[in-house]
Amino acid sequence: MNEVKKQPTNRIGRIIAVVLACGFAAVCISVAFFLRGCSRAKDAVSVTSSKTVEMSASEVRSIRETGEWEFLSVTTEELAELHEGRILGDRDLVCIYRGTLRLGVDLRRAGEDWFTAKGDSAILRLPAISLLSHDFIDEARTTTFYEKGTWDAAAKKQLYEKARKQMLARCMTPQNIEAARQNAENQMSRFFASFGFQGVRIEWEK
Amino acid sequence: MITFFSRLLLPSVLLLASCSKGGGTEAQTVADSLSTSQMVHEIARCSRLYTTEYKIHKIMTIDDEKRLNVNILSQNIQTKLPGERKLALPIEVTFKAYVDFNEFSEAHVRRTDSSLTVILPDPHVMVVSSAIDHDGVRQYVGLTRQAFTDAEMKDLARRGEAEILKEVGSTQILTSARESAVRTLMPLLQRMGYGEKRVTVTFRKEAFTPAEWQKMITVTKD
Repeated sequence: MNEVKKQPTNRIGRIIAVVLACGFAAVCISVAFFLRGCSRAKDAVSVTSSKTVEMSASEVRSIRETGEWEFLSVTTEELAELHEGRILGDRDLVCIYRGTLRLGVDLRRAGEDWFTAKGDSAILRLPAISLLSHDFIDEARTTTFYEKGTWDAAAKKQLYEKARKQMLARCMTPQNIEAARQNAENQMSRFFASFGFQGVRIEWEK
Repeated sequence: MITFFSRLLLPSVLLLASCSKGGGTEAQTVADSLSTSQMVHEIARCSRLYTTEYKIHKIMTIDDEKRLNVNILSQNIQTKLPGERKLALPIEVTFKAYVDFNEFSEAHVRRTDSSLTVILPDPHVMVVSSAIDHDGVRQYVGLTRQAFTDAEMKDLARRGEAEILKEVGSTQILTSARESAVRTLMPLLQRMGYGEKRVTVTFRKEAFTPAEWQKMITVTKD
């Protein structure tokens, strides 16, 4: 009697097992096909970055009339760095700044009679050779060589100022100033010779 | 006991984290291990009369979005990831216009007993400096994003300078340069013995094509 009842139960169990096995196999095959399709597709899952750059209209902030005569330019690069040691990790910022120092004469500092004609000679009283502008760094062309950690505006201004002072110290040398002065004398002689002056005498103010 | 130590540990960790070896937040320079180096690119003798200076300001902005792209069964699904990343960077570029007297000679001067005519070389414009307004920089970065690096800011500034350079030709800088050159030289020429009405300062051409304007704008290359 019990054996008769067990036979239908075993048959149902086998059927369920077969159905489950077939279902599992179908799922495995589907996953396999899905993965195969994904591996063939390029960048199936990817994260992309979209950067939109916009700019305001250019605004002319100032217009200034100058009267600066340049006689020597020194183009230079300067590597400047900041370092801060911390227990949880140091911070570093190393940048390469580029700029051009221009040496010459600012005619606005000269008197109105800085040029006097005496016969066929020109007498010039020029102010001393000086740096024509204290803003000579092209910060947009600066290269960030190494950066670790975040740096605020005060630190970046400090780094800029440090590079500027280093450039001044290395380029505003007595040799360069003398070279500018000699070139000024040569160029002024040529300039006034074009107008028929045979000799040019330059008196440098201090 | 455990509560006591946990209450003591956290403040201690925070206190240690706020310390820096140098004391405070003042940055220090490393003078020993890394020395600054300098390379003088070029020393050039020249004879340039700068007559006009323009300062041009521009604000560059960048909006960096991250998007998730999923390709499933030939379907492309895009969705924007959370977290914004925006930067506004003001930059100011200084231009100077000049007349180059390096090639100036007698050929540019026509003298008679009663009159003097000077033909000046064409004026040129060049970038003499640029500066990022670091105090004016604004960045808005979500918790899941990283702050803008200094290198990214410099790259944006470079693009801004290039854009300003394209637009400088539309300003009156070259016209201002010519007028200013005349105003600078006229008293000098009059002192050579010619009266005001007998001195003429002119340029090679009165009008220039856009292509000629662009040639007058000097771009400093790395």
